Amino acid sequence: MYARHNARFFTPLSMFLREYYRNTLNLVLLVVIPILLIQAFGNALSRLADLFSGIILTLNMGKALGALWSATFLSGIMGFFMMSGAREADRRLVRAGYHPVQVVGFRLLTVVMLGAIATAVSYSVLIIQFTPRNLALTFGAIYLAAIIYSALGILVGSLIPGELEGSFAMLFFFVMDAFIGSPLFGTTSGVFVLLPTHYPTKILAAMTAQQPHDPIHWLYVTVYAGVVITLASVAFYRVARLR
Amino acid sequence: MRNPLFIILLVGLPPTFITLAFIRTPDAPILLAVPEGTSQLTRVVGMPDLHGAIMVPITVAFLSGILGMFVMFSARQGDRRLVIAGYNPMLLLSVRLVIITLMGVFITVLSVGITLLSWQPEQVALFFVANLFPAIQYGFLGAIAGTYLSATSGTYLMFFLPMIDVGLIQNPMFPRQNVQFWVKLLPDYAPMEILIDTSFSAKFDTGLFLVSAVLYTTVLAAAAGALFRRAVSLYR
Repeated sequence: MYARHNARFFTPLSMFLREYYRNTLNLVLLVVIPILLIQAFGNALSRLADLFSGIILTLNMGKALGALWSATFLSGIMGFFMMSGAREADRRLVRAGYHPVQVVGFRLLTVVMLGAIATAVSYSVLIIQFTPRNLALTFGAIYLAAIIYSALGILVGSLIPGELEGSFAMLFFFVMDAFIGSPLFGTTSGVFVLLPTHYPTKILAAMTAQQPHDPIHWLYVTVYAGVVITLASVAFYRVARLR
Repeated sequence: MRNPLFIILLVGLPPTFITLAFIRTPDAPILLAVPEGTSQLTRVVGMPDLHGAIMVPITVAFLSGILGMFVMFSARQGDRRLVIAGYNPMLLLSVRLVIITLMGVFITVLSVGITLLSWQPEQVALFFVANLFPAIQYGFLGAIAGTYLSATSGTYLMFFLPMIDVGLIQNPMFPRQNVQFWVKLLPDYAPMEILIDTSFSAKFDTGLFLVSAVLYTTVLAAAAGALFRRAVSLYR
């Protein structure tokens, strides 16, 4: 009875995780991309360091942003493709006797776990390069941003079923966050406060530069994450329920 | 093309990215090394102009890369059946590469056109050519990714390759003098030199980089051909 209960819990969860890790290349990219991105930041910013002295903090800030973006954008893409594949799979689980709320719970648990894996890999690559002053808060900022992007990917996937169109929509947030609204390229406008990684970027940049940051930014990030996770749960529920 | 949302996003994203880059970047001067004859001159250029100019290759590389990936990804099962039915793999590949190239030209025309509304490069025609290279090169790289990878891996790769190459490593907002050798091997090295030259210098001084970019694009097309042939081969 206990074993049956366990199987009922772990089967959908392992099924959802297997959707990602059964492809070996997904796992390779999970490790390779953060290394390349953090190295790319290191390379680009060290060229600035050759010209200006005392730029070491900026260099570390760039690397921290590389870790943030590799974790968040991977989580976003995973969330998007998870939603694309969820339509049929989740309905089959409901037909097999699972309640839609249970299926949504398993999906959210998968998102939380995949976000944690993506964050752990990027974070590990980052701390090999330098040691942030506050290890736990650095991990927390990257992880919250990854969760926000996962939920965003799920929302995009629920609104836009086509993989190409959905990828373009994800690209919108990606470019806005990384290039248009990024402090790295000098942009400081208040218009971009609603971008998903705006506050995580501010927190991470301040912590890496050993500057104080406003604690209310954590509240903003948490509220943002809460809202998008709630919306993503609704999106999953709508997909899972049988009409 | 059947999905109107695809058209809306394809046509809507370049103006959004490029126009916002011009509008939202702080109006500050930045030093830039511009090719001049056989040497480089350091010039003061406006940060919005530079950020706006480099948003064009960033935009075209992203869009073409993802498009190239999905063109091949969505066609690969069908193409294998067509090969079994007797079609020449090279003919099928040529059709796909022509589609990707035409899409790249369309995205580049649109992106350069939008740029001209906010800012005028010194050599408009060659500025277009400088941006056509990343469009076609990343379209072909996307085609290679789409031939072999899953949608998740391919999309992830085509989000990060242009970001690492065009957005960070080759970005002239970070000084590009004395870059390491491996930086010169990346797809956007030569096109970025042409872009800087054609954007901020009245005289064209990057002919060798133009030849190098053409060769690079040819090699990528050949690599895409060889890998595609292997992927659809009947003897696998």
